Amino acid sequence: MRWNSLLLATGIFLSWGSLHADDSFRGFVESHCVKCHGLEKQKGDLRLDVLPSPSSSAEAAETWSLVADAIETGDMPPRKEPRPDAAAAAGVVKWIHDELAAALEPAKGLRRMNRSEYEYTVQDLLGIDTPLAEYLPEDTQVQGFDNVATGLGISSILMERYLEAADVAFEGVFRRVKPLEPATRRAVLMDLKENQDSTKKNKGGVITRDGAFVDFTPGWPPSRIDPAHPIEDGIYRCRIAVFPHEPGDQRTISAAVFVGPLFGDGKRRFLGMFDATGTPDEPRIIEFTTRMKEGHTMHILPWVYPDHVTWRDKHEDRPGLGILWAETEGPLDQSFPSEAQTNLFGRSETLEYREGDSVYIRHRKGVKSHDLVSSAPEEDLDRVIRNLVPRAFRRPVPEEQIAPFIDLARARLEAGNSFQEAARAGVTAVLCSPHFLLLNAEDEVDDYAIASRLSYFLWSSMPDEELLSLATEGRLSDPGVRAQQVERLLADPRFDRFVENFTGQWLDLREIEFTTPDKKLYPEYDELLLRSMLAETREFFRHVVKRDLGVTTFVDSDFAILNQRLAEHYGIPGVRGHEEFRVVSLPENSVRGGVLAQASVLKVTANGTTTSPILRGVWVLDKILGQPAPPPPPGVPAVEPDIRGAITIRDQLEKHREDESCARCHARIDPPGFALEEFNPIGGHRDWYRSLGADGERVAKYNYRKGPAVERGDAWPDGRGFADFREFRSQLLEDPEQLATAMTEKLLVYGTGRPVTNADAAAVQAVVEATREKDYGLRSLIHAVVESELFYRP
Amino acid sequence: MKTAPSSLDRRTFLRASGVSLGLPVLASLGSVRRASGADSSSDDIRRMVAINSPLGIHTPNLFPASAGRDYEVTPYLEPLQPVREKFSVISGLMHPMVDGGHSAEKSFLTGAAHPGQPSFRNSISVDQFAAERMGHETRFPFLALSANNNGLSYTRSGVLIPAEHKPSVVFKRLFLEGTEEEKADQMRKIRDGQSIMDLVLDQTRSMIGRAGREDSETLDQYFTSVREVEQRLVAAEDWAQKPKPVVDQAPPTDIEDRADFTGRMQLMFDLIFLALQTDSTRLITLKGAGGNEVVNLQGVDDGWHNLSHHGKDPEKIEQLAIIELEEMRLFGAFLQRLEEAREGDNTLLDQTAILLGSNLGNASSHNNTNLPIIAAGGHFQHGQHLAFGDEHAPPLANLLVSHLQHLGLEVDEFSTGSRTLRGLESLS
Repeated sequence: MRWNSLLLATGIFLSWGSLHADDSFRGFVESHCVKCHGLEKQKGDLRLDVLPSPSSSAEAAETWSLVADAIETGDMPPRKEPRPDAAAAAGVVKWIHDELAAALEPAKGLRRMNRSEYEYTVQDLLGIDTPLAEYLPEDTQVQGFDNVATGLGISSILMERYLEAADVAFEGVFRRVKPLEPATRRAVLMDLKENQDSTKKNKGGVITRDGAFVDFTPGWPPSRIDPAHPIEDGIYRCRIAVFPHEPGDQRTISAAVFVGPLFGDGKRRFLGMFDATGTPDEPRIIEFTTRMKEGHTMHILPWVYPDHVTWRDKHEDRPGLGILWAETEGPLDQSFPSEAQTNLFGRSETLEYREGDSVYIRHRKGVKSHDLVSSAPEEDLDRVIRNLVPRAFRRPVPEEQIAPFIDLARARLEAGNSFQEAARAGVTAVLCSPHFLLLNAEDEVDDYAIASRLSYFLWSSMPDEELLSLATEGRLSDPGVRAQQVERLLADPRFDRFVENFTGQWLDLREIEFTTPDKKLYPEYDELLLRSMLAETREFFRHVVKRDLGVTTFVDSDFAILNQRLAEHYGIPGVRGHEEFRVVSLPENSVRGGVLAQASVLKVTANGTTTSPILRGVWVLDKILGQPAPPPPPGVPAVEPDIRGAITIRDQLEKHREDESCARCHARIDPPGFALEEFNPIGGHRDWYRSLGADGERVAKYNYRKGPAVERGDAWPDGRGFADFREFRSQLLEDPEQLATAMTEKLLVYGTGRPVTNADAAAVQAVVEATREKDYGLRSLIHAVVESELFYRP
Repeated sequence: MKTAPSSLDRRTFLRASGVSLGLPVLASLGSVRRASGADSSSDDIRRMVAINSPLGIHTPNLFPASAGRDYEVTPYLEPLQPVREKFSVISGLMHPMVDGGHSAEKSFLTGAAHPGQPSFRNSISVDQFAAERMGHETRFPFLALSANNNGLSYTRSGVLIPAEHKPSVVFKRLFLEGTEEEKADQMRKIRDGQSIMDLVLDQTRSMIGRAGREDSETLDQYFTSVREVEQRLVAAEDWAQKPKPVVDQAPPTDIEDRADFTGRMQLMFDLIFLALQTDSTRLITLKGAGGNEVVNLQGVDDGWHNLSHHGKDPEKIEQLAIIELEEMRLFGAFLQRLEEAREGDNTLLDQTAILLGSNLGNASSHNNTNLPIIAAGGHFQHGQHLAFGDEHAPPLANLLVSHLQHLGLEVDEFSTGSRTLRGLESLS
């Protein structure tokens, strides 16, 4: 409901006086707003000379907030009207923010874990690595992140999924079958008749040389290594011997390794891409350690760039990957019963892991499953649950909260269930309890709450022993101790979860596979490039955290973190190898540097085929400037792209901007979009558009033609022009505080799990100011977020 | 309904009063009752299916130029001609205030305004609205299916209901009895689950009881969800003692490969048919396929999502049409199969009101107006192209009201719909 009709409905009219509106605010509104939003006209159904208090309703507060945004971004007053004095406008915005802060209840932080937090927490709690997220639905994003309270709804189906996931997790605690002694299983590829057959028939082009299987494409036929497949589940050290075949002068052949079932398109886990160096006599030995299932294989795929894709490639022999042998050594994890089982049930003489039914395992005979039995089941259930509950609830738990779980487990025992099944019921109940699944449920923020807030912020999981013992000692109330802990959490491997979740959402990296570039237009796009793009941005982010570089680094940096594939993509010479990402200094005039010129970002902001200044503009406003454009008004048709080349995007958008209501936002949206037009949908730098039309100069070897010259440059709403991306970028750097504010807001949303609104403007400002001396370094910002009052709200 | 309980512990009461009657939200809905002629005791069993094509349907290939009963057959309507009298193609509809491109799929069955906005809150979807009133009559109150990512169904508080992706899992739940050991295990899980939910409910209650928590939406949702699960487990215990329907079809094997879109959708349609035919549920939603995959149909070599952003390129439109025609062929075959299955004096198609459509009117520009909509089955006067002009088009939710009434629910409004859809006459 628009607020003035709301007013009419409720009869609340507030005069200036009753709002304590200060004179400067009143003056501002009278000189800049009332002409269109006053007694005579109410454009957009909005009237600003009578204002309902922001505390009167959520709608009123929302309207106030929108008014502040419109003034702050310069969308209002309209650009054809006289500009208000900047200081006056800032004063008015601040005044509204303060009013909102005084009027609004702070956002509630009480929320459930999201699916990845659930998986990490249960895994960390039970010491298992069973995948659990797949049992839970995807979560909804609010303000760009999927860990925000208002987005984390709960339904009965979700609750059923929690029951199921807890059951799976409980089972994951057990190793039911006694492992064999570790053994090495080795496959020499050309000893296998499947591979001999493939090379003999030249299937998919594969050949043999120097006793190796040489593959050219990631497709069919697969390189078979069956004798190296593990015959039971466990952790294995894997080795693969590879060498490059006819790489040519410049090319690095990459061996990508995935682990999973041999056949079917099912789940394959990416282990990495490794440079094939060496020779048939002295091959590169790839080595890694990972969990594998019985019968699963290593898919060893050649990633070759540039590949021979057509008959035109006759200038050299076809490059490929030579694979000599592969082996697995394990299972390396020999604990039986599993460590997780010992953690959960403890070591007690009353417990016995008893041999039970026979189970079928393809390559093992006479294998028995095991069940946990107890000679003192009631006492053991009591002990197990007492041990589990405080860790699961992440704080000391009063007896009256523990007892019901013990009663439940014992009742299931009395109902005729086995000890193990009774324990399963008890553990499942703990994992379905609101004290486990809900975060920020405390009435007041004590040391234990702080421990959890730190760990969920930086690890997406429960606090570890050190955090909890500091909480017990009451030391987390000490900012110095907290700062030390932040440093420790940042240095831990679990911080990767933050990098993945935060960059995945802040920069939309999670959507990178949403579109695949058109093969005719972008034949050079391949999976090697895709993986390299993601790695570049994550490595870049880690680097910025590690060195505490300023947030301006995200807009421009004098370095990039590259492998060969990306360096070639960017036209930067001298980088060899795809496996290692290294810091590369960029020349002064490089278009690269910062995230805006990173291929990952340029890809997620385009669809597969075309770029849209609107989409990219909207993206920059939200992600980098922190001033998202409001969505288009209802009923306005979107600009329909026309890739037939008849109308340029600039013509289209200029026509669009002729409409005053469109221009209001598009004056802000389009310029950053046009600044990025000189990058194609896969992040390549371009002077002209590629075209599949009939016109334009042919491009040798490719299906596309040279289309029109790329649109470059535009002007900011305030009239400052820029000729190209580099000028735009240096103008962006002129206001580092705005960049810092935007980043602070993102970190606060993610870090507190609640929306950050205009009412929080002062708290955001405090974080920004706390890091000014450090040039708004990202690591300093993380520290400052942890010290923000917003971090300690109930 | 079952016999009166002999003792009145809570669970017995729940069992006796039917699953959904325990919900507080329903207490206020006492005035809504099932209309005569459509209750479970008669053989006039009414059903509803809603299907969304998330990447749109290219409307120039769908909408006939002329309106009325004598509309000319367009390419996409060709596969539906065998049941021409049992469906209507509808142009000109939209959900008012529902925009935001792809995000509008969230509102396809809810009609909630501005799904693309940060402050968006969804509302209940039409199937859940119906499930609250009639879901207890079948083994499964509803099925939310998806051949994609998220599904289409939302709870009363606007929470997305996780959809089932695996036909094999649903098939197993619907039709496979399992070994005696599995059944015993299942029964143990049901009873464990009941005890667990009991305990969790108590804990949630005491959490709510603490000062300042009464207004917590999170705790409220938690409480409601736990109670619903508890009630469903009570019902499940009853159903577990009744034999599952027997179908003469082998359990399906899931198809992981998204490129095999025909196979994936076929499995879903087969499953929906069986679920309806056996009266395992009466309410089904399906989010159709459509993502970035290059589907393996002759003549298609670009990703589906990319093709939907055709930018008016005739070659892309041609490829898109190959995929969408296949969608329509599958849908047409599904309708025919329902038409051939008789139930009393009617066909299964007559008993099932089906909506197929998309939240995108023009996928290339991502707009959410003039949506491609097909209404099929149910007791309606079909066989026409219902064309609404831009100016006075009724809201799409009016069609949802028509479908709710087909179910025998005495409902005059749903979401932005305030009456049944003009031009779609009911036959009973």
